[in-house]
Amino acid sequence: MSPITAGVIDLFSVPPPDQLVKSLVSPIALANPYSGSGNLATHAGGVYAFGLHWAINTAPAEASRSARSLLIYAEPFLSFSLHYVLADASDFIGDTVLSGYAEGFYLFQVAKPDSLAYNILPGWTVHFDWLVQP
Amino acid sequence: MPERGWVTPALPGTYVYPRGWTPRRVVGLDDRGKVYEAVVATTAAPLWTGASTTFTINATDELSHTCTVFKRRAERNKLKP
Repeated sequence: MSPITAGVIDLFSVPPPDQLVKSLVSPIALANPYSGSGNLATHAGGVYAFGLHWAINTAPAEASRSARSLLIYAEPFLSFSLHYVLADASDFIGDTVLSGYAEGFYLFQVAKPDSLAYNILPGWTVHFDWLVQP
Repeated sequence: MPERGWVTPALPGTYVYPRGWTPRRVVGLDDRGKVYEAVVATTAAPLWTGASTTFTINATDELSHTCTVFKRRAERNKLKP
């Protein structure tokens, strides 16, 4: 992945999905599957992630769920929060996503978060993909 | 089960829990993904403070299962209007 070469305004807006690609290696390599909790950096070397895609890798057999257009678990098994570092070095949490959906993606409402803190309920493992500019 | 905060049987004459209220409890997931709850005596109980993160239940398969706490539910009034 190459550093972003778009204009200044573009740096602060999130591109639409048809201008993004999935990546397992950029901005940082993902060690799928994920479980428990941890932090992921969302940028490296001038490359920023603009979103995160998740899909269930494994789920506990007896978890309550509803089979609709996709599996919807009764208990939201995935939560992640985006950390932003302000100009004064304050580390603030911005958006938080809480989901029981078996798959989905989230485009960051405000671009350029510094990191992403995730928490996955015990019993579930989740596959992550970055959404980045090609 | 000291992690739940119960220390001794109530003395005779102790007021019972008010009718219509449900006690505070922690909610946990066992190894199979089933949700169980454990009633917790006080907010100082290890399960409530987070000092203890698991509790054990006897499930319908007649086996003990260890549940990992992921939610705390405060005591609340369930009186119907």
